[in-house]
Amino acid sequence: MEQITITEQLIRLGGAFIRNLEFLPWVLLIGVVFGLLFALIRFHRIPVLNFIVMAFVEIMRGAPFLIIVFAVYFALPYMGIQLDAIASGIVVLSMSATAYLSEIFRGGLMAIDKGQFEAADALGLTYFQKLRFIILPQMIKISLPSMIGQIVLTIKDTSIVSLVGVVEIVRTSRQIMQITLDPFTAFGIVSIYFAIVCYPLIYFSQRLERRLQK
Amino acid sequence: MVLILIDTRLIARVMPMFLSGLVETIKISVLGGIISLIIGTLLGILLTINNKVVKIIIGVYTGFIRSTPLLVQLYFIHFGLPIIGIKLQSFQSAVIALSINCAAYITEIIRGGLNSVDKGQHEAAKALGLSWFQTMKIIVLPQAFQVALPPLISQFSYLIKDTSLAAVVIVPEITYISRKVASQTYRPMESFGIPTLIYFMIFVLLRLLSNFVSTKGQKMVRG
Repeated sequence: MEQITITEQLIRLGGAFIRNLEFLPWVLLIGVVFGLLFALIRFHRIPVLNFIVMAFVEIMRGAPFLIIVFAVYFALPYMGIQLDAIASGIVVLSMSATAYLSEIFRGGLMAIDKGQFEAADALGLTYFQKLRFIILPQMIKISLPSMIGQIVLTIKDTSIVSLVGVVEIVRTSRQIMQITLDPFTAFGIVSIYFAIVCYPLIYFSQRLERRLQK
Repeated sequence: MVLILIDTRLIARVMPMFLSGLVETIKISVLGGIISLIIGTLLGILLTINNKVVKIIIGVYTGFIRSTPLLVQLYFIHFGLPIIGIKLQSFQSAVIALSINCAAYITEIIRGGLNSVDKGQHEAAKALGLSWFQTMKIIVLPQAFQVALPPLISQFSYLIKDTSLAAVVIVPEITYISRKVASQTYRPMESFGIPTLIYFMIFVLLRLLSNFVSTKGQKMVRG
């Protein structure tokens, strides 16, 4: 039986965990841009688009992430789109993040006082000025705790794309476990890596939320 | 364009498989829901007793569970427990992992519910000469649950979505069946469309229930 020392496991899993975190900037960029767009479409009730966006968001929120992962992984090649594992990982994670972020942003938009919109109109601001200077700053302030919560969810969801072939931390830990036959060390290290990144985020978002409530 | 053509005969043929998967999903969800509700309520009540050690232990548990992926927790239990001599079937490890996971979130919800009960209620119960146990059972818990019910229902809908991970340890629930159907029929539209719709319908039903409960609760509070 081959043995892998704990330090070696720590290094290998740490390297793999960076691959998990590498998803984050892409997913956040796509998620925030489309999430904002979708939130505005639903907020202004733009006909037809509103319905399409609503259907997308509701299905994404109603179906388990794993089944969306499988569906994209199986359906894309069927439609003639060839993507490697990492690219399809980015696609699924972004789809899910977009859906949740658009609901978070929509909640933020609805929480802004109507008078703010009217005042911006009275000042003669264009639509984009209104968004840029009046609406978005307030919306982001309200949405920030939930946005951080969504980042935590995305980080945790990166573990699931291991099931369709992305060699990230969870897949690596399973490979290590099959060699060492010691699940406690391998999965223990994985849990600690996730906790080190996610717990401060959860704590920070709870603090922010409490501060906003005051 | 192939995707638009839905093979109805295929749907009729695979539907019984999906229904048996649905039964399995419901079994895991109900068992996991009951177990996690019991653990979560007990831990939530324990948090109201001002004991630092208890608070730290429960805090570490909920913090750790909420900051690690369910998949890793499932692997931990499924591969870890047999090593220390506890033999588990896939179904059992899925239920245990989901219960431990969901209980962490329920603990927080119950704590929030208990905190929302006015202090005067505790004092009034004391003045009536009720014991701590009676106070909890008759006065505090019913009010706490009223506040906690809508978030509990949405937590339960997360639990149902999370049961899809049981497919990873080969429990024949909806997601596992859908993957099996997909690899047998090469029809992704039917294979993943049907389960997505099933999950979606459960999600919508639970949300309607949650809305109904919260408006009814508000009405009762207003009198």
